[in-house]
Amino acid sequence: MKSHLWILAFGLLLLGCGKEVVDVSTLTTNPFDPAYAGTPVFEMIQHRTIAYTEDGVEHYRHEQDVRVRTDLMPSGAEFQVFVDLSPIATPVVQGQFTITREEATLGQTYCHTIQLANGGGHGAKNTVCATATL
Amino acid sequence: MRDLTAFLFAIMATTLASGQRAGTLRLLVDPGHNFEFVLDHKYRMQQREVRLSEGLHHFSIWAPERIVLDTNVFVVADRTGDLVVKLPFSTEYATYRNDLSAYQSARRARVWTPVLVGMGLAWTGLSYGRYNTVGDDLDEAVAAYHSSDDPGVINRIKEEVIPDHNAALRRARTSLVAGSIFTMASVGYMVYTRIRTSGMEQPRFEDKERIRFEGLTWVPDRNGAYWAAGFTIPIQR
Repeated sequence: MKSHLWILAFGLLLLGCGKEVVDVSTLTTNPFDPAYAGTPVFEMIQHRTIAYTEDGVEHYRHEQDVRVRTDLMPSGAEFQVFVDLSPIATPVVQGQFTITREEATLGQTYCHTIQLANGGGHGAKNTVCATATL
Repeated sequence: MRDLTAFLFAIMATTLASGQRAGTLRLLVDPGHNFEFVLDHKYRMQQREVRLSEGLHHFSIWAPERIVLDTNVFVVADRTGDLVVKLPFSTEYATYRNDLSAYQSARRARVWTPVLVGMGLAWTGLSYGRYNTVGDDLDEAVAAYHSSDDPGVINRIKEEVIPDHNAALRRARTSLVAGSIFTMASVGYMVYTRIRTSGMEQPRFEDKERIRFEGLTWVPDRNGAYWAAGFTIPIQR
C-alpha cells in the first residue's frame, strides 16, 4: 500500500514534466500568420514582355504568372491575394494569377510584394521580381 | 521553616505546665478534596479539621499524584489555627504526564497522518486533472493555429489564447509538483510515525508516594489497631 502510494506520487511527478509551454515565437508555419517564416507562398512561374502599338507608338506590357502554394495552407482554406497592398485584378484560377505591368520599360526589373489575406487580415507575404525583356 | 519550628517549641515549653487542654487545627490543603494525613506518625485521617491536645504535633500530608509533605504544627489550647499547605506534584507523576502526553501525541499522529496523505492525494489528483485539461487546451490552441485560415483568429491565438494557457499550465504544473511532494512527504512521515510508534505502550502511573504514605500507617479501630500496607495491581491493560 505504502509503496504503491510512492509509485503513484512519483509517477504523477514525472508525468508533470511531460507537457511543455508553447513558445509562440516558434509558431511561424501557417501562411495566414503575419509572422510566417516558411517557404514562400507565392512563386513566379514565368514572365514575359509583350510589345504592342498604340497610336503609332510602341509600348510594352510586362506580365508575371504567379503560382500560389496552396499546399502550404491548411486544407480547405479560403484566401485573397493582395499585390502591392491592393487586391489582384485577375482572379486566381487553379492556384495561379497574373500580374500585369502596363507601360513597362525594357531592361527594367519589376518587383511586386504579394500578400495572402482573409477575413480582413493579412498573412504571409513575399516579393517576386522579373526584368522586362523581349 | 526551622525558625518557625523553634518558635513553636519555645511556645510549647512555656505552656507545658498548663495541662492537657485542646485546640483546633483547620487544614487548608491544596488539593482540598482528596488529601489524607498521618498524625504524629500513627493516626491516618481524612478530615479538614482536627481537635488536638496542646503541643507540637507531626503531620504527614499526602494526596494522590502529590508528594508526602512532613511538617510540625504547634497547637495552642482553646485556639483555632490554620495549616495552609500546597502539595506539589510528585516527580513520578510529572514524568507520567510527560510520557502520557507523548503517547497521546503519537496516537493522534497515527490518526491524522493518513488524513494528511489523503489530502495530499486529493490535491495531487485534482492538480493532475487540471494539468491535463490545460495541456489539452494548449494542444487544441496549437492545432487551431495550424488549421486556421483567418489571420485575425491566428493573431488572437498567439497573443491571448496560448499565453493564457501557458500561464495556466505553469500554475497547474507548480500545483502538481507541490501536491506530489506534499504527498510523498506525508507518506514518508506516516511511515516514520508508524515505525516510531509501533512498539509504544500506554504509560502507567505508579504512585510511589502513595506506597510510601500507606506503608507505615497505623489505623486504630474499636478492636485495637493494625499496621496497613497497600499495593497496586494495574488492570488497565
